[in-house]
Amino acid sequence: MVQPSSSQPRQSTSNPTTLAGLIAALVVTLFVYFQVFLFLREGTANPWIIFIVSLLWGIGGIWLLFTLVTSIVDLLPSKYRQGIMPWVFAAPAILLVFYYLLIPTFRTFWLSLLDAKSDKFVGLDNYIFAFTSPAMLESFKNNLIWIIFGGGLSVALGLLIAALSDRTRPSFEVSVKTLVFLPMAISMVGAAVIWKLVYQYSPAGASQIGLLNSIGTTLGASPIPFMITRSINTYLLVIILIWMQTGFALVVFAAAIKGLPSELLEAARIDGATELQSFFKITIPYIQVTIISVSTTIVISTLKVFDIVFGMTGGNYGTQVIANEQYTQMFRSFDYGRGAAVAMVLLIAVLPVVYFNVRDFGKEAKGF
Amino acid sequence: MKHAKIAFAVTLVTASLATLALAQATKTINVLGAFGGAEATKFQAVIAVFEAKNPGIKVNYSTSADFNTVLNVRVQSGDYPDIAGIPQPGVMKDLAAQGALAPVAAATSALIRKNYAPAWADLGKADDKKIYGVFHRVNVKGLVFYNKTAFEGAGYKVPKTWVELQALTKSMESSKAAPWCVGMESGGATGWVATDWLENIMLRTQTTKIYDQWISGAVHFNSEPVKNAFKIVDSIWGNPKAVYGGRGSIAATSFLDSAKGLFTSPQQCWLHMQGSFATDFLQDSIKKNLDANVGVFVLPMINTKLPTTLEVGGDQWVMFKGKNRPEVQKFMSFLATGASADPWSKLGGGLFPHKDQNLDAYSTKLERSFTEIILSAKSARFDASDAMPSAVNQAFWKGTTDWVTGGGTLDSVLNDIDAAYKK
Amino acid sequence: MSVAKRPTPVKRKSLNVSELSPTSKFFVYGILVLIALFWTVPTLGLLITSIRIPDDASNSGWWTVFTGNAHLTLQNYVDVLGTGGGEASNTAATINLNQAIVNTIIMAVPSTVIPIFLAAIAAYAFAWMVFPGRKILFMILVALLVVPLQMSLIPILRDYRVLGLNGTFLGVWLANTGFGLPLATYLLYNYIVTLPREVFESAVIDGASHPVMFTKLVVPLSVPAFASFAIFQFLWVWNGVLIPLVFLGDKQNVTVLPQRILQMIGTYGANWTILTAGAFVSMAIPLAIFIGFQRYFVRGMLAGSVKG
Repeated sequence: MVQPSSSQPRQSTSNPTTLAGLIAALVVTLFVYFQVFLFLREGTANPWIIFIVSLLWGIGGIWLLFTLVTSIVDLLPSKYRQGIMPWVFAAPAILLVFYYLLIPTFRTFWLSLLDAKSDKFVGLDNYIFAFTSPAMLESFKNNLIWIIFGGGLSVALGLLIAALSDRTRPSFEVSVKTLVFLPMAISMVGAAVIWKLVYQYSPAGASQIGLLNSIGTTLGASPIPFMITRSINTYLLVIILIWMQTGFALVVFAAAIKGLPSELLEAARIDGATELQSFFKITIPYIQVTIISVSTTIVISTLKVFDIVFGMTGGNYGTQVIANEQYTQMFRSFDYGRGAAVAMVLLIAVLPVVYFNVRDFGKEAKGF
Repeated sequence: MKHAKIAFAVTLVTASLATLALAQATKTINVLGAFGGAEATKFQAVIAVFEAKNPGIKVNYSTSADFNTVLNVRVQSGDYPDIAGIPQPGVMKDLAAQGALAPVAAATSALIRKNYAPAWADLGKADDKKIYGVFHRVNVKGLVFYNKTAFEGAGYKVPKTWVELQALTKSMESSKAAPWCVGMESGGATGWVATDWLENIMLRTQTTKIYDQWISGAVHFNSEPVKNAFKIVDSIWGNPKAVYGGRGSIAATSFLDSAKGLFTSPQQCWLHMQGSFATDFLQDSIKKNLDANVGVFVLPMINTKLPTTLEVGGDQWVMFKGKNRPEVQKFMSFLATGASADPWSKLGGGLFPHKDQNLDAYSTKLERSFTEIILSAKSARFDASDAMPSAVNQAFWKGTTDWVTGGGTLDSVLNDIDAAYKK
Repeated sequence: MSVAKRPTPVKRKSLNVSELSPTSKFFVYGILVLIALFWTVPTLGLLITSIRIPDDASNSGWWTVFTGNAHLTLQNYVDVLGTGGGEASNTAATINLNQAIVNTIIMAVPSTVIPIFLAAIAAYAFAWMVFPGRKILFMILVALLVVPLQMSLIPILRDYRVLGLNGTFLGVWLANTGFGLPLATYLLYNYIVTLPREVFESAVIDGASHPVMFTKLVVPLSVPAFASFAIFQFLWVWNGVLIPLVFLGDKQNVTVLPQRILQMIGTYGANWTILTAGAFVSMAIPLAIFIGFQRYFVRGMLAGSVKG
């Protein structure tokens, strides 16, 4: 482990005057910061003034605070500095996440042990429901389809498009990326309309408004009520997710592939590797971490998938998923206990993914 | 010089007027409702009348995309609006039981007694027998719509009895179009079309007493009266000749599109049963002249020994606890008078239960006739699924949807719904 | 300060293209055109539906406009933008469009920048600093990615009422920051951790402190990662309905764009033509930003290979 400061004599002797000055600056900044906070909380000024002040406050202010605090910590004796500095970096994010997500999760856990109206302790009753009710069993099966089919294809397609478009003219590359990215910019409401125009069904003989049935009937097939056909409807919903999410995978993969040093590829080429070989032997290993992080993100979003199911089928016809069941229990049936237990099931379901991500964490002694 | 003096005087007057205006601070009422779009525009017209009568009070109406979630989150965290429009009496009772609501003021409840049929006052009561809700815009369900020109052109007659209706639909089966258009797809809310059908059949086969016991859970879903209603619905929905596209298309067709089938070319069906709001779903060209294009009759009684009972629905406006300021009470009272109905009925798209409303204000004869149906009804019952506890309502929607699409047998579906009562 | 040179992949792209054989070039372009087509057809349907008259849209497929069934209109856009007559426009007009756009920008920009900055410093700490609890804290962070947002709304709104943050932009920024941080930290960590160790080692030998290494090394090297995360966070915030609805509340002066569009829909929903036009209006700004950011995705990494 290397200590960044050990080789630096200048910093090991702290200067009391500078320190005092910095602390004074920090106090003043904090005071101003709080005053601006009150001003913004009031929120009665002209929106543009609020906007400009907010940018200065939110971005400049945080930067200033960060700089001041790190400067102060930098002046501290080395033994304190090493202990404190990491927290200056990590604490703001950790505290915010704890407040906005972790504490509410504890509350959710508590609610999951109480009855529908949170009046009575019911032990594990809600968890028995969450693991045995037909709706939940159906959800487990469907979420698995979402993860494997939706997650797998989003990642694979994103990687494929990123790798291929990297080899095309820049203008073409930008166009392809923009078109695949486009669905990410569409709101969920818009996306639901788009896909209704694809999957819509009208009885035989009527004019088909849905693209698929229109193609089908033109070719002589009879129209299929896609959304209520139990064997295929979940897969058709998954396609919507793939359509919306591949843009995410693509953009991140494309950025990673751009970082691939050309020397590596050229060396492979000189060794006589084919395009395919160098893709699997060089590109994939090089962007492995990116692949894991994109896969994790997408798997989690397939676990949480809600909008698509809610908007297209409402979880009927065998398409129920965990997050929609959670929503239904909580905001339709007003059963807080069950809703909370189902939410906790999501948290349990994500644990393998978490484990996979932190498996190698700190194995090689990283950090300074 | 003269100009300068005038300018000075004008400035002075303006400034003092401005100060006066500021001194008389406007009071604001925040109203949260489930409807947006054109309906919100019409409600704004109602608000405008109120604001004109009560200078110094401003009413902010806002709607939200996910009304259920937002209202629930806000109530749970104590962030109450002043007034909210709640579509389900079941939810109103829950909120009242939680102590989140304030009962209407004495003045308002006097107006309710004067201007409404007793049934509406009862629907606004929670379990503690106090009135919390004021009904404003309402609807009537169990109406059968038809294409006037085509229907009369084919020589059909409006059926007076259930037997006549059966004979009529039987003869329609061999015509150019199917007797019925039925579509129940409604995204996350799929199910309500089926429950509306069942409730209407219930009211036409059973006494109101049984209907009320069904809502409270005393009469189970898996009981003869309810099973019988399912069977009657099945005799229509399950008959491939009776429904356009057959049973398989019912859940795959949006309720919005199914109403249009009366006026498509070629015509898809002769009849469509829906609430009074179905006129909103018709083609724009038809909507331009509703009176000439659309005919309506009330679904006839099946058990003719029973008095005709209508199914009604509607949002009720409630005040939240600690929000019953004088101006909020004033607005609630206003909603309980016919004066609040006329601005909307003039614009169309709303029916009102107020006895003191101006019936001449309605823009179409059709809507006026709906209103007369509501006002003249000796007996009316609220949409049962909306009046049931939320969990049962949810199970009812899901259960009927499963039943229609073959996701369960009648018995298994009924038992599942019954199970939701036990919670 | 001198830093170990990172490989500088200058002009790699043009080199590659010239080296593709005509056959593989044909396949590469062919596959991409097919994919792009598949991705675009549904969106094209949306665009065309947005300029049709409502009766047509519910009667016939959007592709029929190419076969003569073309009653096209811009009325849907006029309605959405709230500048003309028409039934629906009146409601929207009560919420000024410009105000809604300004509100959305005020909401979205700090909601994007603040989490990125906080996530970047935290990701750096997780990747290159040693502190107790590092692993468990990171585990918690990743696990929290899955927490359904609805579970957090009630307790936070309760606190906001006490703090007076309810209905303010400040409250929304903080909420978007809190909800966006796990993903931001996770993605930026995965990027920052792959930066070559030698870069840091030589900086350490030169006596650089953590703040210096962060600002002088990590930030310039991470521009593409920041840019890509920024665009995603911006999109989520921009299209998000629930958070502004709950935390900004229902005051008209703080209504944001998606809310304004949703408010144009009546009780019985689906006004397809208005929805599609609305979807395009709200898509315009994020899309412009994405296209504007393109050069950072492409060049960020090349520019990032700094030297002393």
